[in-house]
Amino acid sequence: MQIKSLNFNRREARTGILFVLPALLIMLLLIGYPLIYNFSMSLSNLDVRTFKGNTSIFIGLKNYIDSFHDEVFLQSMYRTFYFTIWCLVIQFTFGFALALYFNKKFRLAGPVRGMIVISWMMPMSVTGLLFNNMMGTEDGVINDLLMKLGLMIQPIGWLIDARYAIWAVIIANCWVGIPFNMLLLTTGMSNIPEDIYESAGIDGANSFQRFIHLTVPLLRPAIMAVLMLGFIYTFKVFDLVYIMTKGGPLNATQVLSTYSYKLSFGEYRFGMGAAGAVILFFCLMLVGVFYLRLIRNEEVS
Amino acid sequence: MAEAVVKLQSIESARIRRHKMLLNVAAVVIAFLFLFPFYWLLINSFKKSVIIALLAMNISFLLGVPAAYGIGRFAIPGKRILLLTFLVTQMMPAFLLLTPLYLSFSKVSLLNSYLAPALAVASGSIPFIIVTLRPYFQSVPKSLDDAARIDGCNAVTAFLLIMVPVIRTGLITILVISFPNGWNDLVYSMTFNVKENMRPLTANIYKFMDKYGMKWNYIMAYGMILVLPVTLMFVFLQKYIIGGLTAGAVKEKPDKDGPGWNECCKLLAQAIQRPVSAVGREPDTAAGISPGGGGCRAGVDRPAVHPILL
Repeated sequence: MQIKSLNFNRREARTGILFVLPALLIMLLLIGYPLIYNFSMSLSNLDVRTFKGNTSIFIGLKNYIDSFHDEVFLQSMYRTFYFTIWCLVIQFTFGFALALYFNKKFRLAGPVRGMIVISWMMPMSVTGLLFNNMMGTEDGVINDLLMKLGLMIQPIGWLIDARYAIWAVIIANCWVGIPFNMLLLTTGMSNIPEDIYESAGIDGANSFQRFIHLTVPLLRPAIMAVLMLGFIYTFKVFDLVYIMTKGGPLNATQVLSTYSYKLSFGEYRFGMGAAGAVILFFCLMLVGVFYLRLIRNEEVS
Repeated sequence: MAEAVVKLQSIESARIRRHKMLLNVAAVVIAFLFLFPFYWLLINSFKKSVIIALLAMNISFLLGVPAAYGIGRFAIPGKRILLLTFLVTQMMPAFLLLTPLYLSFSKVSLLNSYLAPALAVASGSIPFIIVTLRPYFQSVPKSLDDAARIDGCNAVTAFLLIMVPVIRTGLITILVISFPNGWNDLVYSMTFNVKENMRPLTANIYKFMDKYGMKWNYIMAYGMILVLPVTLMFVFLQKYIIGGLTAGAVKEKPDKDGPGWNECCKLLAQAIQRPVSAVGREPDTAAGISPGGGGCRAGVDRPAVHPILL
């Protein structure tokens, strides 16, 4: 009997593995192998010449050392964090406020909430182009509006002035990120039972107290998920920056992903680009491990 | 006399009408001539976008859905690690795979093909499908699977005929999320497909951004077409999109939209009984006697349930 059930279990496991195997193999091929390839590339002097002639050699950590001596690289690393943190702060604050607002019961709450999520669904390339159009210096609608309202005298060169360009990208990213944050937080809120608030109201808690002592603690899992996912999606930003500024003007909006892309496919220094990608991945891994530790108990149970 | 005038007038107005129509036709021809390059580019890259998106979606469905079933239903050794790995791959930046895939694809001469970007996109969609669909498969009662097995299905037919139809809500969710994955892709298509006529809409929009300035009218037309399918999907399938976005991140009971027990039984009954009686055998003799045949083999006659069509 014991043996029989053991056999059955083994057969079950084999069937399960057969279902998983094709996906696993293709993932190993498309993600596992490139990951290792990328790492080994980052340790070699691979560029367009050594790739064609197959003469690239192992150079140890030289690419990494060079990267950390490269002014532009260090700047783009700093800027990636700057970009990510500002985006997170703005997205989360406005997303939370909107989630609270649309959580109230009124007629347009559902439809409008649904509608603004479209901005999240749109291709990033279109979002980038739209903001490029609106943020034009002479003919952009944003400058036009700000001038007409008398909020500024001279037009701002959103995309051509090195001081403002990163903020142009941050604003565009937040336009996409706020609905995303709002949506995840709304789902979290809808899981909080209504009667908890009612009893708190009877006990004499005002709305601010209810927010601090009920909503925030009960939303903790959702808040953590939103912040971590937001960090991951924002940190690996590429499409938006590439379309809006291509990292310019004068590398002022260069982030890790666009700079590595430029090294690999603009200058064909694949080794250097790979090193940049590995550093980017390492930063994400740290956050990812932290995130997985948080959700492990929920997801795997 | 009056009649003749009226007749003359009507002839005259008919001539004017014909004349105006000719002018209109000519205008259309002229417009066509001048806008044809734009139209051609648009239609061409529209086609590419559709092909890449559909190809990527098919690949990820074919591999991802069975894998979600395997992980969700069977006791596999190392399941925990496997699931964590799939969760981690969801976080990887596309950029990390770009150079290695580019160099690998160039070695097997897969550059400038639809398959190259489709495969790369699928590598992002597959883990998403697995993580999202697993709870759906878990929420289906285990006894449904067992009943299907007793009635003569093997693992594959039970999966295709019983499980896949039962979790169709989940399938719609992953459909509406994974189609835009391919449709919106820019970086893979841009990098792997160097030839301009192989590029999809997202990448060809650049044609109108050059050193002489931006051709905003063309760019906006392109943008509209890019946004259209996603918006339409959104309008009609809104509730599935929101379900899909939140499924992986914020814990929600998947069985809320999942199938109820009654529906499972009904589907099982349909899959097994209808084809059997069509073949002309007694339902209960067909069941236990020939394992692997009987109900489920005949069940293949049912219109094949392709996940994409649901």
